[in-house]
Amino acid sequence: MMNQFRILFRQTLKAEFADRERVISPILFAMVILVVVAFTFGEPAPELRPAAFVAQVFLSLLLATQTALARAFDPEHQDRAFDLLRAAPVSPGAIFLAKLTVVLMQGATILVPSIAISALFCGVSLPPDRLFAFTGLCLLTVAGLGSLGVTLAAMTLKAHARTVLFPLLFFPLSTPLLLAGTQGGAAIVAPETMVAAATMISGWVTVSMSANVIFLTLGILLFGELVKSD
Amino acid sequence: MPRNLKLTGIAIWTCLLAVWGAALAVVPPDQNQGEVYRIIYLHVPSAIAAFAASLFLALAGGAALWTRNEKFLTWQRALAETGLLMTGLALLTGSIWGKPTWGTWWTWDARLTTTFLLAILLAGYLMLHSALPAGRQRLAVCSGLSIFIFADVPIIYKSVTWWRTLHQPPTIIRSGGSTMAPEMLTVLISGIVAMVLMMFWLAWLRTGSIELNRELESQTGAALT
Amino acid sequence: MPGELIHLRGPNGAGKSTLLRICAGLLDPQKGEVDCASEQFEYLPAEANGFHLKLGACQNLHFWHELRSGKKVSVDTLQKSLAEWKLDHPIIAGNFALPVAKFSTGMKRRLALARLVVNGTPLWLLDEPVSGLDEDAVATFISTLRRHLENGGAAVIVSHDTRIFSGITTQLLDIIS
Repeated sequence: MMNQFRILFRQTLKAEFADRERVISPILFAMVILVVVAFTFGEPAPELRPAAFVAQVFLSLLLATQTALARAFDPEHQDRAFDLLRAAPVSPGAIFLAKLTVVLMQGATILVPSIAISALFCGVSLPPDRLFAFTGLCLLTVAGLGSLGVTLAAMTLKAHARTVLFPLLFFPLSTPLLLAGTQGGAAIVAPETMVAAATMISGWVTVSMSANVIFLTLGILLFGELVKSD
Repeated sequence: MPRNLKLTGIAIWTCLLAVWGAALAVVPPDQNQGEVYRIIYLHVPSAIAAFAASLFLALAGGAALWTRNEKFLTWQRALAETGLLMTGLALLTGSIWGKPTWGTWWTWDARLTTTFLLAILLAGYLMLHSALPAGRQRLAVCSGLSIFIFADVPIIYKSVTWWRTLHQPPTIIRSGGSTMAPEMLTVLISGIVAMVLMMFWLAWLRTGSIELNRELESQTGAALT
Repeated sequence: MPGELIHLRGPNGAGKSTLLRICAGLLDPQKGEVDCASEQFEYLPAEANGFHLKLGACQNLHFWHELRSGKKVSVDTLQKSLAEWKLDHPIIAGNFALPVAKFSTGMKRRLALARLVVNGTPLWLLDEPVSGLDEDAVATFISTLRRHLENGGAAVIVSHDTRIFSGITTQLLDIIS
């Protein structure tokens, strides 16, 4: 299983990098959203800046990962490599985790410029410990969105109108992750002391973690079912 | 319509109408809210029936994955449809009730938000069900989604509750509570029971036509491949 | 079963491809059971080849071999079978490989058949393996099929092209719609 994971991961990563449009377009999309948000809100008042920063990061993160996730299995779908994988002696868990790992890497490449540019636009400068905590929470959100999205992408692979179906299911299911991310993020970024916000932050991290655990477990279990014979 | 389906239908409709009659005529008005509160006898039962539908949807999902029997998928579809109807009813009555008592049609209260998201998810479930070709794959996908929805609803509720209570003083008027008069409680509980039974009955009613539809699907499918 | 070749035959829409998909474990039979471990067979559908289209020929063959066997395939074996299928042009087999998406239909098919040889799976389940191939490639397929059967391999083939069965002992399986 580990060996299969390694081989699948390498191939998935290679396929992703061979198609530059797939890597770059979600990042560009995230940047466009940031600019549009900046246009609509203009210069936020000083006391609103932290909230605006968090809102921008999560908005661009959510929409950009959604576009990336909705087509997560396209490289395998094109020449029916997915069918051959299903027929081959490969563990479904390995396929799922390989795809998830690549998706998480992609999420991180969207996240880093989003945080940097939003901070620039909103004029927010975070001390290292807060920046570190905020990035960690964002990564936790990305991880949850990833396991949810990869499962849904596999589910909707054979459905027609999947461009509509995917977000319709993805957005409501991701509510706990988003609330945990935005609320926990706002608590981290807000200019109170970290100690005062600590209980709130840890509460939201727990919510995010439990969503992560549920999505990952269900994802691995259900993916096995999806890969089985028709 | 099969005989036993018809008989249970008549029985459940009678119960429900009796409860509504009692709610409108027998039960005294509320001390604070007056007559308006009577909508509770429609609102709370339909909301509970909606969440019961999502519970049984997931149970049918688990059973479908376990046995690979198409019958459970038919039940899932029927339960999702009636569940959507119930969430719609709950949201509508909640809105109508919210206007005179809270002064607003909509607020991001935890229960409202969760019911709203459940409605979207059930609609998404139904769309996915119709968008997939019949077969084992559809059975697995839909059953998987039903379990996903059910597992997510509690943490959606939990996170929305947190979100609101942390940022807003708890001004929201809680419905029900221990102050309720015994006769009100009796009518409300029988209303809930009748509504949940009605939800099941409607789902049962739907399974027949879904089954027919599926048979038609597989017949034409066999002719094409 | 070793050395055996089965030709699945029948009119369009009789269910030949469906039967092959059932054998490959992609579809569940309505009745009966299929007893075949996925290590033992390799399936090739009619209308697709199962490649990562943005990657090159060698990257694809390496991947499938390593995934099935857990071992890396030697460069020699790879180059030899690419040469056998006339795919040894530096643009295809070299370091800066052309993505499979740019291949012609016949070239993709040849690459898929080369993958069968490289993987060396005992049972081949092939759906129209020679559609879109030129005379030369069909001849190569016939000789590789022979070699496969002589080495104790087996194959189930759906094909309307009877050339590939000439001179080989074949079991016919007619499917009536």
